[in-house]
Amino acid sequence: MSDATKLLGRAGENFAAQFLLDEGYKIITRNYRIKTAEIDIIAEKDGVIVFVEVKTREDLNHGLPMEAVNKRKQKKIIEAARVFLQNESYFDCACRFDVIEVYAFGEVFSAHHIENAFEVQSEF
Amino acid sequence: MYARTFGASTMGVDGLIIKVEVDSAGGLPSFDVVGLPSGSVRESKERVRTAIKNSGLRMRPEKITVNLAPAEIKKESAGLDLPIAIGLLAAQGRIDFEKIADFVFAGELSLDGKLCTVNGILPITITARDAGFKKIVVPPGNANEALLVDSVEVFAPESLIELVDFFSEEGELKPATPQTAEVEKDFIELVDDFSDVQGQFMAKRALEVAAAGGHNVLMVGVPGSGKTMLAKRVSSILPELTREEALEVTKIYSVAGKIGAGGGLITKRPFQNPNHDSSTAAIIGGGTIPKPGQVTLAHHGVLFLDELPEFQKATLESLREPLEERKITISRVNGTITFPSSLILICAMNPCPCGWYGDKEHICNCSTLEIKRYTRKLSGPLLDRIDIHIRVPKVKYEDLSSKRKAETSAEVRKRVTAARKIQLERLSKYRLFCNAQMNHAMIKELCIVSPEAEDLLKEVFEVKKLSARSYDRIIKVARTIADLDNGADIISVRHIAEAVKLRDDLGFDNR
Repeated sequence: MSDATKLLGRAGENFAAQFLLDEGYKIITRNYRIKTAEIDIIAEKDGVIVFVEVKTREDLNHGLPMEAVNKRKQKKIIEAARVFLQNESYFDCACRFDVIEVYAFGEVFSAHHIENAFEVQSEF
Repeated sequence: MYARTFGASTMGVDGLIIKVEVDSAGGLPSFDVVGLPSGSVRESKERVRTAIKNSGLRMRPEKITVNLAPAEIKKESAGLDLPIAIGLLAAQGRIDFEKIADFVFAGELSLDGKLCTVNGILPITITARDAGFKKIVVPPGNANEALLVDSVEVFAPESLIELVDFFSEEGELKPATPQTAEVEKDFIELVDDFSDVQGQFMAKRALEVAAAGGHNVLMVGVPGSGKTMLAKRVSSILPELTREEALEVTKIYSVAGKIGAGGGLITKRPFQNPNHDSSTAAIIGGGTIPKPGQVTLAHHGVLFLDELPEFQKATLESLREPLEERKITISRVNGTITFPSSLILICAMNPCPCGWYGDKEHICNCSTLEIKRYTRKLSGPLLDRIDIHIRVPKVKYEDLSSKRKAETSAEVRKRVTAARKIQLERLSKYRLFCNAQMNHAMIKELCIVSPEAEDLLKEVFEVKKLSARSYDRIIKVARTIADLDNGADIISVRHIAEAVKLRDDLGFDNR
């Protein structure tokens, strides 16, 4: 990953965090990392823990940001979320997986919040 | 929160009440259906979720678990969509748990929240009533079917939201009433009449006897002699279905999904005419979860097999059980299911591959070997189960051009119905309804043969080298002929003689 991409991602995450705060969320932690995965933002509102994946794009040459959150990525986020809930002793609390798309067209940032973007897939 | 509703699926031709438990609680959001759901049930979670959303209701993202009990039976009805949706809304507190306790729900959901018609509503409603449920919710297209069952209140909302509003007392939902225009709708078109067939008095008489006693018939004749035409008209001379029989037939068609939206009680006798290409499973029923085949769809009606030797040998042999037992048991890994198959089998065939063997005006150029090969498929045991064997000759020109109106189906049916009534009185203590169902012991007891007729029988038995079964069958047919003869108590020479004639030696039976 080039430095420019990293910087853009970081800027997008910051923007998304501010966006969540404006929406009345409380940020619990950012960049929660386990060995194999990372959750960009973990926030909370009305007693619901929200795991947020932020995707930032400068253009749409590579498809929509949310399209990048594919099954494999979802699995990783779910895995990290499981670890988080376990370690922080949140048992059976209400949770949700959200995706925030951040469009960084020049200096102007805009966010699109997709609530309950995906779920744990059945293992049967 | 936990909630429980009742849905239903079908098993054979019976309904099966399924307990749908839904739990919705915190945890990573997911939606799992457990309890041996088949493909269409597993997919129901997508329909349910979307239908709820498009009904303007909100679903909280929670860990949702749906359990379908009893767990060991594979569920395949898409009709479980509705109970799952209602259970889910109850588990999330949108519907009062108490209010739905005495309902059974059946219906498939479309993505916009409308209720779609499902199969098997009649057996499901009957089972629900027998299990003590007083109310059932069905799709509007199935309302007429559900209303055939007494002492159950039927609700037929158009959409999920209509039902939810009813339970939350925001809307009204009246019990469904029969749509008189559509109930009793005949979906089997049969306007063919016996009077359409000119001549062929012998064949017509044979079919009348068959209809009267429930006997199976094999017609052998040259091409164009009217075998198919005659067979297609047999259901028109059969007595009307009793309500009980009509319910049984409707149940089968309901499970097979052949009633269609808005359909109600089936009042016409079924007539099934499978192509000779049909597989054994299509004829006797089958599938991983067994479904009724042609012999079951012809229950209380006629199964007509045209070009009999063209059917696969295995298919023909598989007919032995349904013909003998009047039911067919299908065993698969998922379970053993018995379907009813009380039918009149009518078969038609040519005497040889070219079709003209035995005809006076055409030359048959089939070799003996070819004829042998052609008729070899008809095994002794199968032919033995067919009471009446007749030859159908070419129609004579005088008959064809005759202006004389032949007897109508209604007239024949009157005689058939009278004969059936006599049989019903005689056989009701055995819970049978036609002569063909009698077993050896009953024949001994109920078929009194006059001494002269006895002598004739003895002679025929020796000359024709009949098997014990064939002997029984001749007496059974004679019994029917006597019943048609103003209900004569004793079988006389006349009756036996006609019965023997109706078991024509076709050259390939009694080998």
